[in-house]
Amino acid sequence: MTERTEKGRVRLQTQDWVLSLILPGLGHISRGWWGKGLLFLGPVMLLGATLGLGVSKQRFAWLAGPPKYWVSTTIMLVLLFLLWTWALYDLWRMVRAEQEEQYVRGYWQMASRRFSKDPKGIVGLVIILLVVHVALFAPFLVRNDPIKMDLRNFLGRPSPLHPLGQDNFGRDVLDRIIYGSRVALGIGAVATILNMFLGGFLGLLGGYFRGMTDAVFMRLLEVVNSIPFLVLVLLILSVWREGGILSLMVILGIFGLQPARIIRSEVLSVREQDYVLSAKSVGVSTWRIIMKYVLPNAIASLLVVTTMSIGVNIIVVAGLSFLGFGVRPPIPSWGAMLQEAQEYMRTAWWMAVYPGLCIIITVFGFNILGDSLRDVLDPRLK
Amino acid sequence: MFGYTVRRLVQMVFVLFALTLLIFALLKLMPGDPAKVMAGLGARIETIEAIRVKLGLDRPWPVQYWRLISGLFNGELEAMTYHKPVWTVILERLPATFELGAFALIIALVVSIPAGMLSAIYRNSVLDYTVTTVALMGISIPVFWLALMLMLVFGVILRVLPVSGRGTAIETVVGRWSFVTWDGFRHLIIPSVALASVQMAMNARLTRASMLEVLQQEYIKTARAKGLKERVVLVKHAFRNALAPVVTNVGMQVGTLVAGAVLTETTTAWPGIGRLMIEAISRRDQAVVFGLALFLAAIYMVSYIVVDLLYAYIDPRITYD
Amino acid sequence: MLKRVGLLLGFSLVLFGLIGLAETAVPETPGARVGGTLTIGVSQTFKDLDPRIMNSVYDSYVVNAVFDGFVILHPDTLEPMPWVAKSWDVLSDRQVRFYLNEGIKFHNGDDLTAEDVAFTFNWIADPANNSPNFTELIWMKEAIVVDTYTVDIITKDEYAPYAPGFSTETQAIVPKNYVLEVGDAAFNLSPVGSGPFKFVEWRAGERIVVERNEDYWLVYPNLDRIIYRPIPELSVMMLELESGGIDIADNMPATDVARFRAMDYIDVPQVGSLSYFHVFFNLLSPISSDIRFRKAVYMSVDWEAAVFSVFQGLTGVKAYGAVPPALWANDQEWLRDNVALEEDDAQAKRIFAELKAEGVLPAGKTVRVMTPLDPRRTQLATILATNLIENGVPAEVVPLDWGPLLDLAYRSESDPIGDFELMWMGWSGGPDPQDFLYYLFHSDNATVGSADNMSWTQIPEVDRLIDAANTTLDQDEREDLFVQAQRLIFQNYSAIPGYHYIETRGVNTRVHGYKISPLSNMWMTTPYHNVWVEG
Repeated sequence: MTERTEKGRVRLQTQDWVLSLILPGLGHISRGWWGKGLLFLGPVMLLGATLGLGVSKQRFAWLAGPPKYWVSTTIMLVLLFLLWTWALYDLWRMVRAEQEEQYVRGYWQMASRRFSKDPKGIVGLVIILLVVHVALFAPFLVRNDPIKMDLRNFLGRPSPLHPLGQDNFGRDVLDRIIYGSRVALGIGAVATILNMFLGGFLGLLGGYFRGMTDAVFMRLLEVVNSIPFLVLVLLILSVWREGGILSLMVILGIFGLQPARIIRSEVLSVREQDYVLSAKSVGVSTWRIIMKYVLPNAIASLLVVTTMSIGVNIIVVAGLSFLGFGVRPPIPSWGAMLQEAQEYMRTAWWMAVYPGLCIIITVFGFNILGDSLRDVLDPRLK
Repeated sequence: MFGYTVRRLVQMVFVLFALTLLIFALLKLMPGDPAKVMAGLGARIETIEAIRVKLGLDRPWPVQYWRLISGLFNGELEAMTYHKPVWTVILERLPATFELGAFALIIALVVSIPAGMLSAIYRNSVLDYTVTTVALMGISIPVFWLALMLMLVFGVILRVLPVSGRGTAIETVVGRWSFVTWDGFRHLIIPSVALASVQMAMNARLTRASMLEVLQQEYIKTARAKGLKERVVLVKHAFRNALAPVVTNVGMQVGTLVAGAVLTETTTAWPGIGRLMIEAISRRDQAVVFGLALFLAAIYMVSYIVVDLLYAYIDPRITYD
Repeated sequence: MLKRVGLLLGFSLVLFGLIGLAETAVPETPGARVGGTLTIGVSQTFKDLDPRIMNSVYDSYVVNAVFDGFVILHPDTLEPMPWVAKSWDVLSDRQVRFYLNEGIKFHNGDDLTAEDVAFTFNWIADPANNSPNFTELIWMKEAIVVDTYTVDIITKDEYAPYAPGFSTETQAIVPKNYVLEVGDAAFNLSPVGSGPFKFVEWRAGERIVVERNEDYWLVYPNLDRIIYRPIPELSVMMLELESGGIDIADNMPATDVARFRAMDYIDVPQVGSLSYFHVFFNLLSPISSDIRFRKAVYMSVDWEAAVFSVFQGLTGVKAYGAVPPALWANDQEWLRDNVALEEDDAQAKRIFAELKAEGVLPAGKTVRVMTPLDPRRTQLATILATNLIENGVPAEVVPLDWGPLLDLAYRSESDPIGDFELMWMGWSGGPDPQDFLYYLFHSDNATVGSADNMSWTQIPEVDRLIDAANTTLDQDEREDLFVQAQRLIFQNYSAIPGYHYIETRGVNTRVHGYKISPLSNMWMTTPYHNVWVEG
């Protein structure tokens, strides 16, 4: 067993090392921490299974194949590596927490503890991870090229060969949904991240420095917010009619400025706190104040808002694709699939129902995660 | 209070002005010539040019901008592709969207407020879990998909409701309204239910959160300690206070209603201003887009101001001056 | 989709066989019920109701009801027959005298006289009025009032020895005094004609309503009212047809045809229409100007299968030439056997690789296939792009609204070449092959700013053949010229013929007397129609 030490050094046993290197999570399980163990084991099994699927379908031919496989493979290997390392680190930390007498739990540890006890959050996280997995490793999961048509067999009903049916070009709906997840998540995620950075940055500046910066920023925000979001996006997209994916991302990124407002109010409330004022009076540099005090407090709400925003952005992108402003054919996207399905609703309901369900499930995952994060990171529980 | 209102209105004017510049710039940058659309295929170059001149598109930009602004204010701005003044085009279709929005809002409130309240009161019960989960689903469903499903199920398969469009309407001094006729009312059901769905979900969550917050307040505990009956506590104190943020939020939802209306109207062929916006952008009718965008922005901002005033009215602790 | 309606009147013919007739036909509908409302679903919103400027087939539905035409094309033979003009004499090869029916009144009470006829024609033919229909009367020198009920139409010298024939809505006669009184703008919004139905109201985006003209001179219209409802979403229109919300749908997707035919209360009449849709190459672009590229693109797709999947052999047929099968001089078979290319992916890939090696197809270039928002063309564009991608050419579909699309297609000062390689476009013409070939392939029409010859086909021999067809009346000779011209055009692979539409409408069985026509009209009450509905 582990040596008991008073503080500081805790070492893992050889047994822990060996088990964890075979499969991350085994080390946890051997000590009785089933929850954590499964948390590591799960993704590893999933990645392994996907890899196996790819290998079984194409042997190792894809190693020499088109670049898209390379990207997915690299990501997969990187992820596996990270999982292994993190499992070890986490095991070490958990052992340490168990053994050390004066081990104090930080805010984040407490938060993640609460999180792990909340079924809502777990469900949300699992959904999102699954969707992300599908998006990242789409080339391994599809049977055929999603743009491949089968013009003699259009509007095929769901069958063993085509589990979710075929669309009006005979393309497999399931394959298109799998690839569509890339567009949905890609645009949703990138746009939201752009959003967060830009909005967060501006909100930080405006909230902290006030004065001119703040005033200008607020005016700008007002003008952009004065018109219903969808209308503004439609107008801008019309200018950039041929922009495709990039324009969608940029537009959503810049104009979904909700986070900026929230960050700003967070910053406003924090900067009046005693510890900030005292730090300032002592002469701590502005940069340090921001980094050490303001930012960490803002991050909690930032996290919640980000998660909810991704959900909203996915729906907005679907709506825009539905109206005809999305990615260009023949690239599959859920919103565009719904638009194409409108005409065939009566005769081929599967074209409309399944992509819609995918949107709902994905967004639901993000929303429920966001909800759970908000409960968990509630500043009053600090 | 009065001073505050005046200040807000002045602010609104400035913002609207900045917006006009933004929208004008976007319109000018948009590729696509309405004159070619009007002339159709097979037209001579002279015809296209003549139409451009008639629409004023050959003048320098500042002149065009001025024409748009002044035309909007004196009500004479002509639409480029509709043969009518812009205001007429907008006002013709406004009642339809207003009906849709109002009904959606009513449905949303009638369902969501009781649901939110009850789920807060009976926290952690089965009811609570159901309501929160359904509400979470509600904000995850795309409005247009829901409209399609409703049309499919109730319109085509079950045949109990008309599938699309607006029913018979009655002409009044203030426009044409359809909800007063049975036929019109039936046509209104699917679009307003679809539009209401997202509002319903958001409101339910908000009501619940607000109610929970209120229930934890000191004065509630005091009221209970005083021995007041639970019902009185709830209705007299909790309810009213919890309602405040919800009511004000409703005002802000005007914006989301408009966005949702665009999608709903397009899917269900409802002839309102949401659909008009899409149509006008598609036809590159710069006058209508300009006027309509500003109109929507004005409504939006006025509703914000109203909301703020309402907030101050409901909660006497808040003052603006 | 903007359908260009109306014939290029200068290029019509077959007037001579009818000199003997001296009367406007009167429709007979035994057993008809008088009364009732007919509701028609229209695929696009209405733009103009003034027949002098209206040029979309959808607007023509309403104009057909509110106005009388000068003559009418017989529904079966497509020959011009009397309507307002009850007979005519060919006085010389530049002058035709028309005798009008007397006693026709406009809805405001004015009499219809030669003044109104001359006013209508001269207004359209006057370039200063910039009517979109100007080109249709370009051959006319003027219309002269001889006496109250007699009008002479004079042809310009350069178009002799051509005797014109007319039809269609553009020749609907407008009331001169009334128009001058209320002004063009008001007239366009609230038209007054002499037709079987009076205009009642136009609710933008919702409906146009017309009601019976109780004093119609020709026959008592059976219908009380007609309601035209614009429903741009086809799927919604189908649902309305099914539920009885509309009686006639002016369009129907192929996937719904079998379903509606099976219903006992809906008929699905069809007729080959005078339309032609194709994907043309931008011959000004360095990539498309290489004929190897064009042929390789042709070979990349199994066009029969593609057209079939979109239309299921029901609402569209594969085109092999520009002149539709419904018209003479169409030469479809020869073109199919000798010009059309079979799908051959292997060869296409080879050619593309060759082009890439030579630098004609730059690396990293994505071929742009433009298309209007019409679902059919967008679908065909998607099929084309997919096949190009599979053969090693990155491609994408760019659906655009008409505004930006026409900007691009017509070319402009700032972009005289056009930043695209392929574009789907459509064209409707009248009952003369010239109406297709002249606009689409004559170099006269390759002009920056308004180019109907969007591919920029400039083949001198083709120009010569097309011009020659204007100078003779011999049907056989003209046919020969048209056939030769088409062969040259398509051997050059300026465009890949796409499809010809089969006009398909959904009609509730309560409607009687409705006849579908290749001209896409919506005739209700004319010398040959008097539609009625059951209760």
